[in-house]
Amino acid sequence: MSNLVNQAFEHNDPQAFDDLRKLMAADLITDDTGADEAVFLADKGLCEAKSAYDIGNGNGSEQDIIEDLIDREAARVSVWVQENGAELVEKGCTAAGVFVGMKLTPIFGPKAVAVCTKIGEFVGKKIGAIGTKLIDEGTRKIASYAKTLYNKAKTAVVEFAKETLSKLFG
Amino acid sequence: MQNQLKSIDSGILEVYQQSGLTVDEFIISYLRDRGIENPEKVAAVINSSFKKIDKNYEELKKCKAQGGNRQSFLRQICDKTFKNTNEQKTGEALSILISGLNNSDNQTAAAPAYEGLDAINYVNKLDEAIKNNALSGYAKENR
Repeated sequence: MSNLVNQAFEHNDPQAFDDLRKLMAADLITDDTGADEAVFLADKGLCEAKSAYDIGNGNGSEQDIIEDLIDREAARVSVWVQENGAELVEKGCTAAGVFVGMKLTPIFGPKAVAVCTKIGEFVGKKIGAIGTKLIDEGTRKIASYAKTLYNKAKTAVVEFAKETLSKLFG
Repeated sequence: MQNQLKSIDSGILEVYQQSGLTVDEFIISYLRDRGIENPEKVAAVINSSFKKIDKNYEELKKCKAQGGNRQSFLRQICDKTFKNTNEQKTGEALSILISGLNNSDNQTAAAPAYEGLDAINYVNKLDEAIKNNALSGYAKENR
């Protein structure tokens, strides 16, 4: 009954992957989760699951897969900027902070990670025991490589915070 | 959030595969059955939003294939989006956006305007925040 997942993951069928993303997005819509938010979460969750599956299956290198995941994140963020950037500017500082908290954090914040992890588990189950094993294995490999890069990126974030505070307080 | 986590395994795939409908037809019917208002409009938003993400992803890949990088792609996006906005306010907004992606609460009152070298700096910081955001789930999880 999980033909669509098998087609998308095992057979690399892009149409099946597109259909799966749409169905997942439709399923994620709730009273407090709009279509836009659901689309971002479904895209992230399924792309991460597919990357993990591929790596777990021995296809591709961790380095290439991670670069691709970052590019995919850049595509999502850039769409968010295109859709909301001008409005964010018009709101001004305080209201912009609230706007980001309401519109950006649910999609890119820590809680989104839980939804994406759940999507990976769901997909794994649909493929069967081997799917769960491959996704777990791939996720571990990606995580191992990602931790090194993340620490470097985190250092840059701390520098940005210091720079901003220094400009504020001299 | 709890609703989202519950809804992931709702059996939608099984129902879809038994429906005999196209995926777009099925989604409209599924949303209508769940009492979602304007299901046709919501289904159209789902379609167009995925197309926008795919389009930007393809443009980023094209940019890289032509010798550019993620920063140059993001610069194009920002320059186009903020073409008609005030540079100072744009700088403040980008600073808030970057802090939001980093899940931090940096103050932005002294954020420089989005122009010249500071514009390059904003784009570089945005790229770092994107990397950070893409990797944080892996780095923080005990995987």
